[in-house]
Amino acid sequence: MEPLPLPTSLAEVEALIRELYRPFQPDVARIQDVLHRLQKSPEGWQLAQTLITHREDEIRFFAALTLMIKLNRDSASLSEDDAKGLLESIINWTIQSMQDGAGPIVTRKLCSALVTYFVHFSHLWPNCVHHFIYCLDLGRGTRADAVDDALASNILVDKLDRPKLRVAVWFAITLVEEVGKTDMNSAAYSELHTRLVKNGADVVSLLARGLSPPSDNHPELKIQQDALSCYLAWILYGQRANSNIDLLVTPLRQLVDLAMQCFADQQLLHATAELFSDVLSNYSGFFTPEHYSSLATLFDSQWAAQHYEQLVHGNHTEDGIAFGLFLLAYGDATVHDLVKATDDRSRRFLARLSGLLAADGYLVGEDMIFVPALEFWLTYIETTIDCTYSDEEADVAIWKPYAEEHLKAVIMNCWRKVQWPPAEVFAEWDQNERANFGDARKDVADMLQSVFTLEGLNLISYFTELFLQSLATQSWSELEATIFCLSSLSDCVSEEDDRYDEDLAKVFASGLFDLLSEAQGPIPLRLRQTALSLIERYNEYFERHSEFLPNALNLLFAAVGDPVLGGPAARSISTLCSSCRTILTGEAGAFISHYQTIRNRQVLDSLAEEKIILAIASVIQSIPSEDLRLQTFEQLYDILKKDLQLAVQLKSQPEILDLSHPMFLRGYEVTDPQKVPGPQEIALQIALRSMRCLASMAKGMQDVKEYPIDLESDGPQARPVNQKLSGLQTDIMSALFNIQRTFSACSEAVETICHIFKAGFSETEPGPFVFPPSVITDYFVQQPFGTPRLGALLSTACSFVGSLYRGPRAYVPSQLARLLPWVVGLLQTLQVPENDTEISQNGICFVDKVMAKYPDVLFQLSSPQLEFFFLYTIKVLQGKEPLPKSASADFWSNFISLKPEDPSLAATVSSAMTHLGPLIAQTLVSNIGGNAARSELDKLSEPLKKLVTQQVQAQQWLEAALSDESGGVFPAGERVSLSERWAFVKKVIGLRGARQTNQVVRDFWLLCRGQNFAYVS
Amino acid sequence: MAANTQYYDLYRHGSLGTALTDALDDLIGDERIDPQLAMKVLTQYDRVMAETLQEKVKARLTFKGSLDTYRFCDEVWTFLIRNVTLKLDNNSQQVVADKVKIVSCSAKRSDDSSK
Repeated sequence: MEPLPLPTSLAEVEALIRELYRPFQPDVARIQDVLHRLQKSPEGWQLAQTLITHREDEIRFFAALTLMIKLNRDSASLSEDDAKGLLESIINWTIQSMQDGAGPIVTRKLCSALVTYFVHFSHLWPNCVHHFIYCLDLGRGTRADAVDDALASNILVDKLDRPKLRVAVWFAITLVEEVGKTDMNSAAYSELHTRLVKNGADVVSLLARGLSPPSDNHPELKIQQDALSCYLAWILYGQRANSNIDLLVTPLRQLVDLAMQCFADQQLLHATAELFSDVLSNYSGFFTPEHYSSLATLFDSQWAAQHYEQLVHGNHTEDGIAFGLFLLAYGDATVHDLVKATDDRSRRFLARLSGLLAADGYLVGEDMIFVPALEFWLTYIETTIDCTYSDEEADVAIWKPYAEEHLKAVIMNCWRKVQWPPAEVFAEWDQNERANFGDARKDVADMLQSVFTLEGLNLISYFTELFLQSLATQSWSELEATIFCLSSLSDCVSEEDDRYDEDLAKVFASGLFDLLSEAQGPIPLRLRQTALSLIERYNEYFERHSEFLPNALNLLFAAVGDPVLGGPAARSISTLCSSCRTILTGEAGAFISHYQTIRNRQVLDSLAEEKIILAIASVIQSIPSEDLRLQTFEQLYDILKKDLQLAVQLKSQPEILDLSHPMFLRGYEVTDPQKVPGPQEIALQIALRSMRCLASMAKGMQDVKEYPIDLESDGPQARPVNQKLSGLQTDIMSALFNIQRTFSACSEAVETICHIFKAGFSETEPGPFVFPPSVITDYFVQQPFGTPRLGALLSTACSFVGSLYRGPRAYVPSQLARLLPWVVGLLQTLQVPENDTEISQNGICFVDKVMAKYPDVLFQLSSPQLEFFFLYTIKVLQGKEPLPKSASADFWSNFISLKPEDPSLAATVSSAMTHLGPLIAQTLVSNIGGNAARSELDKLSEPLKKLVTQQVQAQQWLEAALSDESGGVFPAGERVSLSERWAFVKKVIGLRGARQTNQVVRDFWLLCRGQNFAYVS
Repeated sequence: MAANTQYYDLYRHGSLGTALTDALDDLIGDERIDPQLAMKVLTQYDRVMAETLQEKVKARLTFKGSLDTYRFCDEVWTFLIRNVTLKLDNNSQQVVADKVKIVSCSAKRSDDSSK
């Protein structure tokens, strides 16, 4: 869009400013642009000066903004006299704006302009606060040095009327906030901060009046609120400027009592509480012991008791919460003392803090104090744990009973709070409220785990008793909360101490699980869910107590068909079966029948079904007899095989589709009843679902035991080939091929095949998914360039190479020699690396992996393929795609340091380096010279380091590349002198590949890019 | 939190931070922003990362492993843990790692140690 022309008259400027601030102005960007150009122009000063006395606030605001822009951009061009005159003018305009009824936005903006002046000319206006107060008292601006004859600031402040006092406070806030944004440690600003700190005493005088209650009947609240904000800003600045304690912090401390008196005014409660909470939380050292004592007295007063009662009985307004947070901040700041305190006042205070966990209302929508209160108690518990182990035992014995008493109250209050509300209340909550409730429960779980460190078995026993009581009284929400608490402790329970199991037996042998198994029983859904999760969480307990396992699994299998409980139940089955697999081997057949029965009855949720398959497969994997294992495996596999066959058949014969049959319904998920998918889509979904189940089966069949691997073994392990196993493998491969052929455009099918293969790669023992290497290689090399998700296939091929290296050596070279031309061929077809970065990256990774262990195989490639690959990786290294580029940097890093033992191969590598070395050096220089992204530098430093340490001609190659003045190789020829370039090479060579090379590279990159890029610390 | 609180810049070294820095470099290279703005963006990023991780991220995990090395230097705890099993939220997934390094900085400023 065309930029607007510069205005030619003042009236036009004013019109543009009005337009700029008009709501919903569509052309705001262009107006802003033209006005900004005007502000930056040399006429900007004059413009500001003319507009600043305008009657309209918006125009005056714009003028003040223009002043700030001019000060920031052009202050260096002002002479000292001009600068002094400017200060006088801005103060005059500020006072005038206050007197002629301009809106606060104008006066505040002029205060900001004054602060901007101070940032640039603090040496001309060192006593800015005192001088500004002096000018306010005079009612006009004066020269800065006139302050030398002025009265002391505390006297001047007392003389100010209310509006002037307010403006002075605004100035003091803006001053500390804006100067605070500059870097205190930078030499450029150190003087500025020193001068600011020297103004501290004047600010204290100002705030002493600002924080005091008004002496007349006029409401002066606004000033006190501003004064509180100003006080906080200066305290937190004082914390950062902590070398100036005496000059700034000590005077500021004198105002604490005055600030505390603001609590007396109900309208100031929020601001005052926020001030104290902020300082207690962020700078607790600001307060002296006397201040802490005053605060403790305040909390023990009638005033505090009244506010506390209001808060716990539902006053969750801003004031109520601010008071609660103030209590908690004090508790947090004094937690070390509170943990060990045994006096009545501290105990009363802690009792109040635990009481905050029992405020009226549901979490978190109604009761907003619970979560911050719980955070305090987490700190309290952590501190108690620290003190328990660091203090003398005799001392601990004195205070610990009190601490335990508080913790008991905390646990009880939390247990009540985490109980679910009635369904009708919960139904009214929005998404956020529900999520926050769940999060608060998790916080309670964390807290209980911390308490366990202190209480151990006592805590388990406590909840066990609570469990039995709640069960006896059929208090379902209490029972649910108890089970939730017990679940949260599952990771803490020690398997070496039988006493835990004795307590847990009371839970798992209780009548609850009988009640749960009743389909139409009294147990609410929420409790069912939590109880099922309890079984999963205590899976290790079931390993130790297999007598409870059948009941638990029956319960879980019964819940699988439930739309709500199905997912969690399947997950629990999977966890239990996986961890208790050796105990359950005898049940594998029963589980398969169970699964088949459920399948015939209804269409299971896809994810739940995968979990169940995984569970059954993990049990099958543990069957000791190989024949029985394979036979049981086949039973389960046959179910999936039929699904796969059905999918293929449906694809070729759409007319067989019968949506009343559960087999077909497996491919039809009712998301939109209006839209029934066609037979082709259903066929594909059946295939994918069964493939995913097959992948789960492959995962379940992974062995959890570890066996030794003989890396030195030269031949295949002397193990007789099991015909049954090999038949199964052939069958699985053929099914996979068949699906891929039938649904050739489906990327998910290819991805799932990759998952199935990968599950076998990590195995060392034979299994149905541990295919012979030649079978996998056959599969890969048959995949043409057009195969979907080729990048994923190449990534799987990389994993395959890794698994080959873990196996006997004899297999390896022949497989690699077949795979390598296939991979390079794919890259040749791809041609442009950016066309598919996944193929580029994984293709290069693959070759890198091959080269790392079998460089001879790499050099068996045909010359054109080899040459193509080298030039391809150099092209990638010059490109912009981060992942292939990183892979290429790795490849070259490894290639440069390649040292084959075979002399003829070593000669070939050396010859290749002679040809490629200059090219690699050019590419690295081009990148380090500014073309690379900052994040790539560390990666690119690696081949550079290798080049320097491994190649004698490295210096020559690098110097040649850096000599380029055309910009084609070294892009920063104009910015970086030849001597700087040679210095870089000298440093890199001198470091001999040491880690510091990375920093040298980073510095040189910055030099080439220019100082504009030095903004990152 | 108070307006002038300072935030750690440690998240600049994560993948989000490096991607942001690269993007800012590109914008500066194209003269679309100046470095001062880039610096402000990074400061903002430090703040938002710290606040968001503290306030919004509720996901959690537990882990078990063998503590190999630990140190506390300049208010920074560092733990090196070996053979770690990380259990994600809801017990749904486990991740195994040979080595995990945990770097933890105080949520409060270091100069607040006088009390």
